[in-house]
Amino acid sequence: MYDSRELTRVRVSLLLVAAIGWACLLLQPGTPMHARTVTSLAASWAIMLIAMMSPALIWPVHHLRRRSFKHRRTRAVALFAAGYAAIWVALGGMLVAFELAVMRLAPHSYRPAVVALLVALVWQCSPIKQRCLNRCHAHPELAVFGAAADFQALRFGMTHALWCAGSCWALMLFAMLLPEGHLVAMAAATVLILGERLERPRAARWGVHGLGKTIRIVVAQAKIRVPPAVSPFRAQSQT
Amino acid sequence: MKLDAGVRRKVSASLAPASEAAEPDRVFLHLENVRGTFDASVLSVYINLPEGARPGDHPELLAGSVGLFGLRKSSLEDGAHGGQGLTFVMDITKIVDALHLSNALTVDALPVRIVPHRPIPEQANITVGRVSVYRQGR
Repeated sequence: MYDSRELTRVRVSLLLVAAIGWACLLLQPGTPMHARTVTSLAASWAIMLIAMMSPALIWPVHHLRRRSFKHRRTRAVALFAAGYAAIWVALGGMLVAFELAVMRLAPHSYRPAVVALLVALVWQCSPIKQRCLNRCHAHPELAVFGAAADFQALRFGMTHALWCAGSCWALMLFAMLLPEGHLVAMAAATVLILGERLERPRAARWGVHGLGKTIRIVVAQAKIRVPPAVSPFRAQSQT
Repeated sequence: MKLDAGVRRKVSASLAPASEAAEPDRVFLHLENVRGTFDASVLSVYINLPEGARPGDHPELLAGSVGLFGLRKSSLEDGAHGGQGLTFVMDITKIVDALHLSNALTVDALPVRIVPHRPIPEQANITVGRVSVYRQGR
């Protein structure tokens, strides 16, 4: 069920949250590895997660809000976010631990990032990745009354996070392992992640998954918004 | 199907003074996430059908009939619909208005019965994920 006003509200809110995340990253650049304490490590990871993943949550949050009573919407979204964050924090812990170990073995080296990039490229084309993306599009039926509604909102957040993590972990790891320029890599990964969500689910096969629809949208919008250049020959013939 | 007391009161309140100047709320029934493997079937949806009554004897309670064309493809997890199945929307304002006029809209639950036109094979495994009622204010 589509509601353009509600979708706009959700979109603006989540893009604002992402913008705040990016502002925090730009003001204090550094991967979680650069943090010195466990608290700052967790905070850095949370900011990275908010900046990169918030735009990809527009559709599930819209689905959740449209299928909840008005008076339960805030609670449902909070439970969804809690479930989503719980899974990502657990998986993020593993990624950060891996990153710290790699950085200790090969400090300031681009070699781990290159390996991560190759892994990410293979993963990007794999059927498993497509299956994860397909499941990211899943919008399950949700209960609306009582504890069942709360439980299903929480479960939706957790399962969505699992499929998101399956889809994005390699891109995130690449961005984290870069000694320099990880913010640029994160921005590129965010665009790719968002572009993938615009694609329709399809059969899980080897193939390139990514920006096809995004590029088509950008080209179509450019054709609409940019006025066509007037040919000098045509201009002459008109005078 | 359980109804939210607050929303039910709002619908009743909108139906009470309905006139040319103030149209009542519209009420829609949604069959969400209908999944299965058998396309060649039609489902009829009845509201508040009495227990044991024959559906064909109560055309006034018929919310609508839906064909399940495309059901199998839309139920494939790796298909273009992502396994979400089909969703159908029916305008049930007239039925709800009739229930309101006969003082039958004071209940906390509204019986919904889904009846196939023909017997469905067992292996078709047709399921309806959620049945819900939405109010659209004017």
